[in-house]
Amino acid sequence: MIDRLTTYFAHRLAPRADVRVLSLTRMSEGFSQETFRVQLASRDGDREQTATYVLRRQPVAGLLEPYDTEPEFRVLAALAATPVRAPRVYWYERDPTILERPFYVMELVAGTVPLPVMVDGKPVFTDAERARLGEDFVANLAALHAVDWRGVGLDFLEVPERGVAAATRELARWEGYIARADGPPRPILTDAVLWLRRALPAADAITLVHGDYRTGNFLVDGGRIAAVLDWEMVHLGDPMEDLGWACMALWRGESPHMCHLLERERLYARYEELSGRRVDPTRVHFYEVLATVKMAAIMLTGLHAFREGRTRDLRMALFDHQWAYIAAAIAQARGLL
Amino acid sequence: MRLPPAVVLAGVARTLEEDVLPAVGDRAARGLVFAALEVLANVQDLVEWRVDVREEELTAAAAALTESAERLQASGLGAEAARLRAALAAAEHLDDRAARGRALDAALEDALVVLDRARAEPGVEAALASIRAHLVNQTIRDLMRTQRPLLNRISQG
Repeated sequence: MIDRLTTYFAHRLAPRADVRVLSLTRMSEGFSQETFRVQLASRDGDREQTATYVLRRQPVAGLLEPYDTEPEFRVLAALAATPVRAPRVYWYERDPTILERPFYVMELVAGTVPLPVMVDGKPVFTDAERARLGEDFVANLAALHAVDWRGVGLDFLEVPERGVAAATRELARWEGYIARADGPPRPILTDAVLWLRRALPAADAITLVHGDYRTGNFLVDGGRIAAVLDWEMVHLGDPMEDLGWACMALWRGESPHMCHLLERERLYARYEELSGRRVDPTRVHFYEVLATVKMAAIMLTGLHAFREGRTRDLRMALFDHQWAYIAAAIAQARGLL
Repeated sequence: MRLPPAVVLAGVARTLEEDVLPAVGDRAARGLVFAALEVLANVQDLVEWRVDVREEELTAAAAALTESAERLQASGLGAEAARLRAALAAAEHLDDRAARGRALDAALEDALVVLDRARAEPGVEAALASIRAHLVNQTIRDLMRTQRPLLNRISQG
């Protein structure tokens, strides 16, 4: 693997000479794609240089199978021309002789990824951290939803019509995942799906939607959000979808703050101020219920891959006993708990 | 409805053997991984989920279907009530506990679909409430048995 990567980077970094892969380390963050840190040395004339990149490889099986990492790469490339804080991407590679599966290379952004779980009962953020990061969280979301997606060449993504098309498509997408996961009956999930089918809201705008916008998917450096990560579910849709996802109970536990950052009212108010869009609580609620169904679909897909022996990633097996958390989130979003 | 313990334990063994073992350099630690593999191989086909826990779940599901059917019958929705009772009776004929659990969950799902179609009829909300109350209570019971996730440790290694 190291030899093939060395050849690959030598080609990409030409005319730099003497390119060597010093280390290749699998990163433990993230449950979906395979992420590696690659440290390289090379020579530019007489000057010896080292550089570190992040490499994201498409997995064989897992939470979002079947995988196609190219759209997220193209979105990230397009976002470089916008104020959205996202990692810079360099190359997309389809050639299976290099790493067996498609991968892309992006910059290593400095920082740490705070996770949306309390440790020893302590809040995830201090009040001061919440104030700064909460502001960044909303500002980045507003910036993302303001992207002129046609202007930056993202109309290759499936474009839903205005009206209920965006909600209909998203619900159908995740119902499809649930059906393909072919698991045992889950009545609480069925109850939520039946409700969603009757509650489809009309979008008043179509924007870029991150699809997994939450604490746990951004890097913090110097107390600020340095980059938003994990773009594999990016699509065009109703901007309220990202708010609904961020408001899901799973991302806040017992905290009153959405994603451990902002109270719901504050999130809505700042989003309205920074985006110029009106928050429609009915649509957000629809997408919050859909978020639980989507999360269930993702977990069931991972569990299916584990059950069939198509992945050795034992983290997929966690979803069997963690179903209780999803069921609770569904019940909570539906107002049953 | 949980994965059979044998499937979970076989997955643990596969991960230990193919992903963990190659990364363990210390000979003593490698020996312990092999010991773990032998333990897993010898228990995986001999364990099952606790019977009292599974029976509690099955009894609660059956009770919810019974109550829901009674409420439908009382509201004059005899056909829907009969459908729920038939599904319940079919499930209760199954000796295998896992199969009975799947059949009861399928009956609950079917009831939700049928009642959703008939939602404008008086009495349907009450019948739905019986099923939803069971689903929430089951969720609470499951939550109380679930250990706090180790997401931080898993992500940070």
